Amino acid sequence: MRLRHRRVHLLAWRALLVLLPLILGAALWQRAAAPAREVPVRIAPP
Amino acid sequence: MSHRFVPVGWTRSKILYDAALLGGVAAYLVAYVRLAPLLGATPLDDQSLRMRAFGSGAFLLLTLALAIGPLARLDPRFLPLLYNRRHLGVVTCLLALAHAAEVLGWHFAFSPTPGAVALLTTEPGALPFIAFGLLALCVLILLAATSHDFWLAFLGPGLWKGLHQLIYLAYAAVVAHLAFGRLQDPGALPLALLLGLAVCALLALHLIAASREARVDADIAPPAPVAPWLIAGRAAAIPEGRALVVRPPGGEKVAIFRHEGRLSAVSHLCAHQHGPLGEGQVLDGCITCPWHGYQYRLEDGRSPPPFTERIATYRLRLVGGWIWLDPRANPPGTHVPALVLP
Amino acid sequence: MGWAARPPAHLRAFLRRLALGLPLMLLGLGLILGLAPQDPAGPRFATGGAPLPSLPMPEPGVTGVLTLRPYPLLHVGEGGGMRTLLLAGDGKQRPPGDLSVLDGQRVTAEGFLLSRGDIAMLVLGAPPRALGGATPPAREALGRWRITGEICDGKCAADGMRPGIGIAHRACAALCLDGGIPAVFVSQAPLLGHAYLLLAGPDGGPMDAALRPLIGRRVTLEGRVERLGRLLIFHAEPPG
Repeated sequence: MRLRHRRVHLLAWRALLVLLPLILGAALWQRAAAPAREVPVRIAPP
Repeated sequence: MSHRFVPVGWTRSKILYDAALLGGVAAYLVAYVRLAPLLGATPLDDQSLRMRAFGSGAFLLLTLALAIGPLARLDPRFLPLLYNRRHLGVVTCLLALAHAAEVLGWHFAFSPTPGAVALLTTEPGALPFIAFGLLALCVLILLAATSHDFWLAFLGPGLWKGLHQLIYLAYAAVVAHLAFGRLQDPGALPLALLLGLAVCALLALHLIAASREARVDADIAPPAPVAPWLIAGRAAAIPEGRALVVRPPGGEKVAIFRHEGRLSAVSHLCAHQHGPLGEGQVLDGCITCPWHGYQYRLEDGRSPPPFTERIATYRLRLVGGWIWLDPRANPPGTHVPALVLP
Repeated sequence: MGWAARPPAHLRAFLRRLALGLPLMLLGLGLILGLAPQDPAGPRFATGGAPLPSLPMPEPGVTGVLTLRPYPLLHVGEGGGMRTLLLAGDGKQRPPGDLSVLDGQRVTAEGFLLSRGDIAMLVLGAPPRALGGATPPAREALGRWRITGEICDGKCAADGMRPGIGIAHRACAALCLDGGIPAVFVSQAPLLGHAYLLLAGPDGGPMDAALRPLIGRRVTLEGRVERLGRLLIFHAEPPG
């Protein structure tokens, strides 16, 4: 591979190395942020 | 170009490769869509089932395609997979298209809102996932459409290679599409595990391959007592028909081949796809690229007629059993007399 | 070498193993993913809420009282046996014709029925025909509730699609609601035996537009709940 492409290639992999865990982390965080399983609660009588 | 290489030729190994690939894809789809429901999977409607089978299949193939590069660098036995990697890419694109067609024909159909408008207006608030899928699909289509050798010749290996490095962007987009989409639902645990495993395996493979290459790359040829010559290595260390790859302080790598008691130096980059020529060998009196079999004459870096490819050549000297290399490349195709070993 | 017509001998065994192993691996993965629980709502889809009474379907059509708030609904039967059907048109569209003149009238309607759990939907092929005046059924207030669940469209949740809920289905649900299909709230746990609630706005009209960004996600909403025959109506307020 030509040096310039090798550099792009390595840069791309390095970006993936940061990006992929970041994406998975954000997805997990979003899932954790969803409200927990909860039974319906009556908060005021009619 | 090599006389062995026919651009549209179907060799036996190509057919076997495609048979294994298509057989694998068919097995995956049949298992997902037909066998699993027979074995008691939650009944889904046919469209939703196919949507998922096509989508997850495309993700698996894309992971495989990205794993081949580092695998081949770690273990040369995987090189044959690299050669036909573009077939894998095209099949991946077809699966992604099938996935998109199912989604458009089901979730985006039967509505007075046109599909194209709906794609952009149905993800208000929170993190979107459709947009990531669309981005990945666009890249996959672009790459699949330009994967033919015509485009390689038309764009030139530099631009073509650059364009095809967009695949990393597509992979990140696919992971985001899955992570912000399907994985947000409860009951997606196996897919989540598979996604995590695939991403970890891919990154680990790359890290191992990169660390191994970093060691090789750190090995810069030292200068000889006379400028601009470099000391490339000992002549005796090169086996017959093979090359020593030398890295000058600046510029591209150089491959020094030994053939019938003579040494010749050429560029390490194949003119076709910048394959690693120095990892190839001399066959039929020609340097032969390990990737696609392109061939070059030792003395002038030109492909034997009728082919017209040329690579750069370099001057060599022998001083007390040591090879000296002039790192200034000659114009591609320049004749340099071979260095005769005593 | 990859380009050779026949790979060298030392590679052949390796490649043969790969050529067999790869399809087998894909077959296994296909089975595992195919067998994984796929439906975000799980088995509650089939069992939630009260069982459906048998309805005189599809011929010669259903007769009942039509009301328009919060959505076009058709109340079939009397007293304890009354069943409320959500009304929709073909695809992701509201029922055909101008229904405003039929509010509170006894009508007859034809179409096909979708049902899952405790909601049922009548998909109308043609506008209902008026039969005369009638009294709309009474509603019973059940107080204010805080419920966790998912906003979905009444058609896909009522078995129009499988799975008809979940994030992958979000765009479809948004299109259905935009097209005038009644919204439903799929509760994480049954409320008085109901997993599916008709989702209305706090003013008694359709779902509040501010809830649209929450479609397909698990959310906790508050609002008053009413009982209408066997159907529960959740008048959800926008959060915050």
